[in-house]
Amino acid sequence: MSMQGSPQQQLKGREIPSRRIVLNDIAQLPHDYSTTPGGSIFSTTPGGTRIIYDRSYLLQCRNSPLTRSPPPNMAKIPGVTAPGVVDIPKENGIPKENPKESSERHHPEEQPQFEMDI
Amino acid sequence: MPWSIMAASSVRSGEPLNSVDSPKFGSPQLQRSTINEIHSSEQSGVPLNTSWTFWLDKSVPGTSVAEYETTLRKLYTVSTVQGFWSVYNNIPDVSKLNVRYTYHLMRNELIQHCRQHRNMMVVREDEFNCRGGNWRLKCHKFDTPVVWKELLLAAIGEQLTEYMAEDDNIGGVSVSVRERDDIVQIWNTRSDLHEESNVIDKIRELVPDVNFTAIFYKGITHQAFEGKSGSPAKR
Repeated sequence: MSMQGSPQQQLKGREIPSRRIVLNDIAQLPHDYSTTPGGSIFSTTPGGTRIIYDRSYLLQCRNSPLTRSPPPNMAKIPGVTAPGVVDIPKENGIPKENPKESSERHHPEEQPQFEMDI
Repeated sequence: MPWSIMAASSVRSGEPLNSVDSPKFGSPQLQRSTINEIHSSEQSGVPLNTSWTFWLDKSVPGTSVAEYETTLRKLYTVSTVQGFWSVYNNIPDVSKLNVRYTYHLMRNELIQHCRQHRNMMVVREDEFNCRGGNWRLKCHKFDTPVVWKELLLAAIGEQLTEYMAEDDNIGGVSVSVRERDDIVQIWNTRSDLHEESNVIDKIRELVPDVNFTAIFYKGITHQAFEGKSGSPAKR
């Protein structure tokens, strides 16, 4: 990676000072780093703590047993988070729209999570 | 209005149950199993940097703020990664949403209440409402689910923050299902600093194969927030 004239230097945003280090043993962690219950590591950032997760870690959590059912007290909205017809007020005189279903097959990994009863 | 009661639900609020265990008390009691459940989910989840709230609304052209508010539903507030997925995995994929519906995921520390005027979801009781704005990106419907998922992950993982100006911040992300191209939005807290941000570059990096058909930024002006002008909402 060249250090001079890289596109990064053209960008206007100010970089947050950070560095990436590879640890071979948990004992190498500085004392002010923390582990989260799921095992990931987050660190403090200048000016305060910010918890950062990368995409792959977040995706790993997706299939946790905790995520298979909705939160027990999630709002139950008929047609959206509960069976039934959407009960949000409709416009007068305008026929009900049909859901667009054509888009999913382009993304086989995006299996529908929920079947709506329309 | 039953939904206003629903709207109070969050990770920390349990369902009030019949106070079978302790009938002497008048206030709503949580059953022990409920408390344990809440406790265990808080214990076992990995904390997010801030809590975030999922909202759903339906925008109808020409409606007033009050009418809009009747369509705005709070789905749930999440504060852990697992909490996020337990909502995401169990609400309809954006490809299943009807036209004119919008999902929002708004950062909780910034949002007290949402209202809309001319397609703008703004925050009141906070200076944020006059100073923020959003980037709007139009994409083809077949790209929307991937774009939305990547945006959500980048937002809750705080991957976008470093692309914002120092005093700016991500306020939330939204996806709106429209008749033709869908619209995703990235909300920031300081419209005056948006030119210093290169968050759009980051989004292109997140979804390199997606062709956005339009990208623009819109600040929320105070006038628009007040909604004093008589011109019809243009959508």
